[in-house]
Formats: sequence, C-alpha cells, structure tokens
Amino acid sequence: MVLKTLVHFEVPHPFYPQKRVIITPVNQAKNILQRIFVLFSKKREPFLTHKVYSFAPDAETSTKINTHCHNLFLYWRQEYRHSIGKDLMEITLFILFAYAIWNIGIIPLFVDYIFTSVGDYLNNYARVVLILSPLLYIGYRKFLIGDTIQGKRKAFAFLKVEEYLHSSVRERFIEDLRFFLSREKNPDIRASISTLITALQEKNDLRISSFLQDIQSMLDTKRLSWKEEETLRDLLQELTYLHRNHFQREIIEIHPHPLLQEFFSSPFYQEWSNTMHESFQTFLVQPQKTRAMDVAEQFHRLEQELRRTLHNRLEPQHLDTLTHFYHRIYLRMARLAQAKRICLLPETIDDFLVLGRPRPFLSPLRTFLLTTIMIGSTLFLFSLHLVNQDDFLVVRKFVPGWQGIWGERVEVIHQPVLTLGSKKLLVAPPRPFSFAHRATSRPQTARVIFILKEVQPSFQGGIIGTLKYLWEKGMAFFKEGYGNDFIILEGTVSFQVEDPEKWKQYDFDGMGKERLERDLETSFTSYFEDLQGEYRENFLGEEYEQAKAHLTEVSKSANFKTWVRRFLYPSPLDTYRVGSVYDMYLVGLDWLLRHPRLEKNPEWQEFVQHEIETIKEKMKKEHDELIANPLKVRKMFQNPNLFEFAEYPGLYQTLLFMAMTELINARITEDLQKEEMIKRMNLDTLNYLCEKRATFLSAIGIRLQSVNLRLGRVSYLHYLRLLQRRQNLL
Amino acid sequence: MEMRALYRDTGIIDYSLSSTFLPWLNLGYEDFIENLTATFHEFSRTSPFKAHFSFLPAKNNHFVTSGGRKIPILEIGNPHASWNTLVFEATCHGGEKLHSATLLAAFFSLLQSGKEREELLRDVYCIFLPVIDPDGWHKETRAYVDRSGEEVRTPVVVNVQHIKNIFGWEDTNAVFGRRLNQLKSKRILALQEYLLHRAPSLKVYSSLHETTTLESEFVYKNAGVMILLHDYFSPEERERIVSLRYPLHWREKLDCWFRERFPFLPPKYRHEIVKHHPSVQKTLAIRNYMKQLGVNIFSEQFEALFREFPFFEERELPVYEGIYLIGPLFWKTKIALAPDFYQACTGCVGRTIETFSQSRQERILQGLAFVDGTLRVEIKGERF
Repeated sequence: MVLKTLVHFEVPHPFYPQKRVIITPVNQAKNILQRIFVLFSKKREPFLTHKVYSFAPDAETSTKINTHCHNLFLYWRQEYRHSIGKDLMEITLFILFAYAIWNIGIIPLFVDYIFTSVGDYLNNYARVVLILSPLLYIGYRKFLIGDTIQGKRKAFAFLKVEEYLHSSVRERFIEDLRFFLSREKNPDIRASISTLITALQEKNDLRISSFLQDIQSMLDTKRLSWKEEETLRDLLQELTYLHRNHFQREIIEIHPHPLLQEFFSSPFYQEWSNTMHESFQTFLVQPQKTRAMDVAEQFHRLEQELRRTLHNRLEPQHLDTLTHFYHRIYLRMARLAQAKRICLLPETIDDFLVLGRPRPFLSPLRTFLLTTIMIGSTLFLFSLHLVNQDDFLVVRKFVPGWQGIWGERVEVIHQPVLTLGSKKLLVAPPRPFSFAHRATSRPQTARVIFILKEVQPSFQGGIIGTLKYLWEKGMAFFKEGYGNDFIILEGTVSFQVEDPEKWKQYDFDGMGKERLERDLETSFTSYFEDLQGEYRENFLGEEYEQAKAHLTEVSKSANFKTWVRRFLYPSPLDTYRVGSVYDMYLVGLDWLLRHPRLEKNPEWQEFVQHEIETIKEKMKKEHDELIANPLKVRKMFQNPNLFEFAEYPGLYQTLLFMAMTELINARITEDLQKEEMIKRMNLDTLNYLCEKRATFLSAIGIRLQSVNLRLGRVSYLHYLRLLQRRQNLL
Repeated sequence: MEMRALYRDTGIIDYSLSSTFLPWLNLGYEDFIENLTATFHEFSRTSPFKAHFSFLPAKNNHFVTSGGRKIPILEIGNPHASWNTLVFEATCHGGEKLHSATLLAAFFSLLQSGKEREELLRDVYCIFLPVIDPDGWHKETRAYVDRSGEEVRTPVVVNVQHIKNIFGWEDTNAVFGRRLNQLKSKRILALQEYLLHRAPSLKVYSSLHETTTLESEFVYKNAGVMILLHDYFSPEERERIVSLRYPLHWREKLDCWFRERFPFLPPKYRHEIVKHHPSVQKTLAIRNYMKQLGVNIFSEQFEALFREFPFFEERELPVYEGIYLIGPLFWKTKIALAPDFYQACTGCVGRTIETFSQSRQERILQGLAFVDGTLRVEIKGERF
C-alpha cells in the first residue's frame, strides 16, 4: 500500500467575499497523479489523500474538493485534446503547405534558379523532395523528436487514474484475503479470515469492527508464530485504514489551518476584501485599463502582505502555493491593463482562478471542423484561376478507362465563371482530381540554340559581370570544365497557338513550350549544319593551308591541351559535338553498310566491312598507344610539335578538323555581325522551319511568326542542365 | 561617456555631487564616519526635508562588527509612506566600495531643496545603507561566511581568486538567502532583522555593485551598467525562460519584429514571456531613462562574445539589452542573494546593478542615474 498526499487550500474567493475557492498546486498535482499512474500500472495499489487546509472548513468543503478535483481532470482532458488538436491542425497546415508547393509553379522555378546558381539543377527527384519537405519536417517534429504526439499521449496517460481512484478497494482486498486463506493452516486464523470475507461481501461494517477487535485480542493473548503475528499485524493496520476510509482509494482530509484563519480574518484582509469587491465590480461594469491596473496593484499588495505575515511561519512550499495564486492574478490583471482591448468575461473568472489560464479552445469536433475548413478552402482556392482574356486552361483529368482502371482525358476550359475587367476567372477541379495549367493564344516565344564555339569565361564588366566571372573561374577551378562558356547562335522563335484543341495534346502537362523548343532545335541544328557544310566545302577548296596554319597557332595556345585531352579522354559532352575523325568515318561507313542498295552488292559490302574493321583497328591502336603512355602525352602537351602529332593520323586529322570547324564558326560569327546577313538568315531559318516541320506544326495547332537570330553566350552548366532537362522530357 | 546630465541637477539627483564624496573613499573608516556625521549635520541644518542618520541597531545598542565598526543608515522621506519604502544598499562586497560614494551623493542630493524633490519625498521613504560591510570596506576585500556563520576576510581576495566553496564558505551576498538563521553571520542577521522590522512593506530593494577584478579591466573595458532583476517567477516560467533565447543576430531581431506584430505565434525569445511583467517593464523604463541621460548600458556584444565560447553556461539570463534575470545556476542550487531574500520575505522587487571598468567618476554617475531612474519610475510612475 503506497500513500500519496496532495495538499489543497481553501481560501475566500478574492472577488466575491461570500464565496470560497480551492487552491491547488496544479503542476505538483499533475506530478503526483503521474506517479500514482506509474504505481497503478505496476500493480502497487497506490492511495491518494487530499489534505485540505481551510481557513474555515464547513460542510460543503468536502463536496467542493470533489468537484474541484473532477474539474481539474476535466481541464487536463481538455488540455490534452487541445494539444492533440493543435498538433493535428499543424500537421494539416504543413500538408497544405506541401500542397501549395505542388501547385504554385513559381516555387520550383525559384528553387531551380538557386540550384543552378550553385552548380546543380532541380531534377524530378529533388522536385518531389521539395514538395514533401514540409511533410518531412512536420513528421520529424511531431513523430520523432521534441514535442511529439506520442510524448503528449504519454504525459497525459495519467488521466486514466481518475477512474481507478473512484473504484472500490473492497473486491481487491477480498481476493487478497482468499489468497492468504489458501495458504494459512492455523484453524483459528482461517475461521477469522472466513468471517471477515463474509463481512466484507455483505458490507457489514459492524462485523468488520468486531473482527478488528478479535484480531487485536488474538495478537495480545494467543501464542502465534512470528510470521503469523507479522502478517496479522499488517492485515490489522491495512484493514483499519481501509475501514476508516470506507474502502475508498481517494481520501479527503480536511484540517482548519490556524495561520490561514488568522490571516483571512485579519483587519487587513477584511479591508482588502471589501475594497477588492468594490473595485472588481466597478471594473466589470466599466472595464478600463486604469481599473485593471488598480485591481492588479491590490493583488500585489495582498501577495506582499501574505509574504510578510506568513514568511517563516508557514511551510515555504505552502506559502509559495498561496502567493503564486495571487501573483498569477496580479500578472493577469496587469496584462489586461496593457492589452489593446480588455476582455474578461465574468464566467471565465472561476476557470482562471482554478487553472491559471483560460480553458483550452480545441475540442475534437472543433478540430475536425477547423481542419475541414482549412482543407476545403485550400482546395477551393487552388481550383480558381485568374487569367487574361486570351488565356485558357488545359486540364488533364483521370477518368475511368476502357482497358485500364484509369484513363486520361485532356480538356480545354475557356468559358469564365466571372469576368473581372481584362481578366477572367476559370474554374477547374484542383489537384489531384485534375491537373490544370494556363495556356494562351497570345504570341509566345521559344528559344533554340546552336553551339558555335567553346571559350574560357571572360570578364564581362559591371558588378554582376564581375561576380559571374569570378564565380565561373571558381567553378572552373573546382570542377574542371564547368567554368567554360559556349558562344551560341540563339534563335528566338515567335509562335502563336491557333488551335487550342490540337495544342492541348502536345501541352497536356504544361511542358508544351519546352517540348516545342526541343523539337524545333533539331531542325534549327540541321539548318546550321547544312550551312556549316557549305562553308566547309568552300574552305577545303580555297583555304586548306589556312586551317593548317591555324592548327599550328592553336598548338601554341592553352586551348590545345584541352583539345588533345578531349580526343583522348572524351567527356560526355564531346559525343554531342566532335568525336574523332575516325568516329565520323565510322558513322558514314555504318550508314553505308545499312543502305538498301549496298545489301544487293556483296562486293561493296565486303569492302565497307573491311574498311570499318581497319579504321576500328587503327583507332584502337593509336588510342591505346597514347593512353598507355601518359608521360609521352604530357611531354606532347608541354612542348607541342605538329610533326610529332603527324605520327598519329587520327589525332592529327581530328585536331585539324577541330581547327577548321573553329575557323568556319568564326566566319559564321563574323557574317552574323552584318545586319543584312542576319535579316536574310532570320527569313531563311523561318522558311526552313516552316517548310521542313509543316506537318508537325499543323498537328500541334501552332503557327510560327518569326525567327530572330543573335549571338549569345551560355555557360557549360546551363547547357548541361538544358540537356538533362530534355532527357527527362518525354 | 557623453552624459547630457553631467553635473546637472535633474530635479531629483544633483549630479554635480558625484565627485564630492570620492576622496572619502581613501580615508580610514573612522574618519569616513566622522566626515559623514559632520556633513549630515551641516546639510540637515539647511535642508527643508527631514532626514535621519543612525547606525544599525542591535539588542541594546548599535551593532558592532567583529572589527569594531558600526554600520551607518541614512533615511529620508515620509516615514508614513511605508508602502513606498525603497532601500539602496552598497558595499555588500568590501572591495566594491565605490558605490558608497554614489549613495552618499544620492542621499545628499535628496536633502537639497527643490519642488520636484519635495513632491517626491512626500510619497516615499528611502533607506540608504552606504556601507553594509564596514570591515570589508576597511580591508577592501569581500567577506566569506562559513557554515557556522563566521565571516572571514583573510586572505584578501585579489582578482577572481575567490575562496572555493569546499567547506561551505560562501560569498556574503549568498548568505542572505541561507534557510537557517544559524547559518547566517551576525551582521547579516542584524541587517535583515532591522530591514524586515523597519520596512515590512518594502517596495524595492536595490543593491549597487562593481566589478573590480583585473581580468574585467581587459574584458569589460568600458562596459555599461548591467541591471539584474530579482522578482518572483514561477518554476514553469523559469524553465520556459531558460529554454528560450535572447535575440542577438539581426535575423533574430527581425524575427522579433515580426513576432511583435503577430502575437499569436508561440514565444521564441525570452522577453516575449516576461514583457508583461510590471517589474520587467519598470526595469526597462529605468534602463531607458539611464540611456536618455547618456549612460552606457551593458552591451549585448558581450553576450555575442560569450555565445562563441564552447560549453558556455549562462549564469544570468539576458532578457533585454542590459537587463538580466537570475539564471538556473542560482535557483537550481537554491542560492538566494540579498535582493532575492527580501523579495521572498516582503514581495518587493529586487535589483542589482553591476558597473564595470571605467573611471571612478563615470561609475558613480552610472549609479546615480540608476537611483534617479528608480525613484522616477517606482515613485513618480514615469515611463521612458
């Protein structure tokens, strides 16, 4: 049997002199009940005594204590529900935050921009992580570390104690006696215990009293073994206690407290009480800040007087409980006096006095309603799209399909539910019920590029230019190659959606423009490769020596090392751009080998096959020889000599080809400086694209309006990111 | 330090007296008391206000320390205004005797004629204890008290080489809060008995200190006044205050700015919990008044510096710039200083100020500004 004691104080109500109020150290009570719960879980049979010190106990004190304790449990239960409700709402809020990230396109774009600036890009995986990040955070906070839901459940598990404390101890005691009886051999003791069990079952208090006397006399008169005597003494002690307390686990003891009596009947308190009653009534009628401060000051005076009078006389923890009660009211009123708007409802005063804070707001029903409102309003908000008059929505919906469970349907919504000046309001079901994005019939632009030259970062001037330059040099230092730039020919293709019904198929996921850029770029590249071919033809005929001279010049420059390295150890990017001349031959020969005409000509087929093998062998031999001798390669880098390179025809030819391509691109670049030339090229490119991709353009319902060419510069990183994005674009 | 009020009479405190009592600190204690008696009589002859000069009483006569010295008490104001009793104490630690001069300057300022002073002294009763450790004052060192209540001032405490608390030796300030009277020294008991009897409804207890160690000459060079607030905070409040932080970085300050505009957010910084406490608001007003006068306030740059130290344990908790609360190092070990003791006994508000390495006159001006601010805020109800 473990006894725990909880101390309460009964004092006059500070605002209404005719009423009384119970003061309990709430946190201490919580700790004691938590301890009882632990003991109860371990089957240690704890008992709780409520020791009430009253300034003037009366018949109602006991009832008041019961009500007060019940109210405390009620409050803790509400507090628990409130905190769980708050957690649920917080989780909902973060889910909605994740939902917002999923819906608001500018967020991934912004993150992508940040990623790109530090040398990465937002791939699909990272995008999913970005969307889930609020959920990961709240999951971590609410389920793993810190103020978790599980922790709260554990902290409030003691609430089960209320039920336990109200249960009768009689049954458990009878069970214990039966167990004792089954082991006891002394016939006298057995007979007495049997009588006691019957008395307990019949709830006969008189017989229990007589049993207690019998046991006492047995202990005094009879000769018993040491063990029997000990057991009977324990039984006597426990039964006396339980009998006195009517077999209850929760016992209330009320004691008048002379010091409290003295203080609360003192002239000071009488005067204080009368003044307070008047002040408070006036405050309730006219809640003004000065009046609130007046009430607060009076409570401070009372607290001071309590400390002064009872210090060193009352136990320190008891004095702390009492002064804390008045100090809390003092602070509360002082806070009211500082608030912008005073709101103290008379009906909340008792709550505040008992609990020290307002009653918790969230109940399960309120939590449910608020959560539903939050989710509903978010979904509603994201189903509205405020767009321009020329815009429309492309909506992808999941519908029951014919062959599978789900099919997809893409729709165009352009009928507004509301028109607001130049804007209109379109409505589409929110995600995940449908996926809607805005498209427009207004002219738009798509950007296509063609790489002309790789260059080292160069100083651009200005603050941004300087920062960019330093950044790229830094990247070049830490991530070799990443710091390089490309001189590009950039084409801005202006287009307009003519048929939204066709466009919606192409732009079903909002990536239509990116897709168009990719698809137009192939034709754009073809056009300029043809142009490069024309320049090369002219060049080979007239200026071959110039190419050789250029190669000699390049061999003395810093670029040369990069060229040789790229030949020997090609980066993934090189496969898009150069490759060795052997690679180029092999591409051509492979095409020849698979040509329908060659299939009918075995002699030629054999010749091509032979050529392929010879080139492959040469290529392998030359490449292996070079990469097996890094020291030699290093020497060739340090002191380049074209004659030495001539020993390796593959390498030499490739370098020559690269030198020639560079010269050709330089010439194209030079030509593009001329205005007339640009105009002509703009027109030619537009005609080329319209002509070559007529079917495609008609199928997706767009019309190309113009092409504007200009020379630009992109970083290696930018280009790499573009390639990666396109790889992921179906 | 640029003080607009330098050597000016603000109506309550006459700052021109700041250097008057400085030479007295170089006198022997007996000469000091002699001078004090003579000056008191001289001033009280011309003063329109009634004041009282006495020594700390014992059972039959005056209390005399083990070194044979008496503790002076200066009282001024309306003895019937017991609800507005303010106590100012200095030289709690004998080695920090500069503020004895501060309190004398403050007391004799109040004795001078003036309308504002007249109005003020009608509503207040001030008790000045300029030297509460005369033996320490004489020896210029702090006292340590053992568990039998015996005060020791040998060896003289130099720099921060304080006597370690191995056998229960404790700093004299912490002895005020010892639970049992048997453990307190006779001097401290006599002081407590006198104050609790003379000023049972004490409103404010102020203790003036200075940091005099050699290290502080380097670390706290030109640091301003630090105010330590001693008030009642419930255990839950204390735990919460400790768990929160003080905004130092500009990001944290910006966060504070937002939080002030969106008060529904849960508290993140310490001041958010205590900002409605009247005692904190009054302390803030005192600090602001001192700032207005041009007094340096203990800069938060020191806090920023302390944060850089690994395993730094906060002894006092900063809540506003220059305003600190007692930290867990005190309340978890149940150490109660003199202001904490009087707070627990009377419900008053306690304040300790600490002044750091600057010229002696500047430190006196800082102390005077604190006394001035306390009187204005606590009695006149002015807010700054």
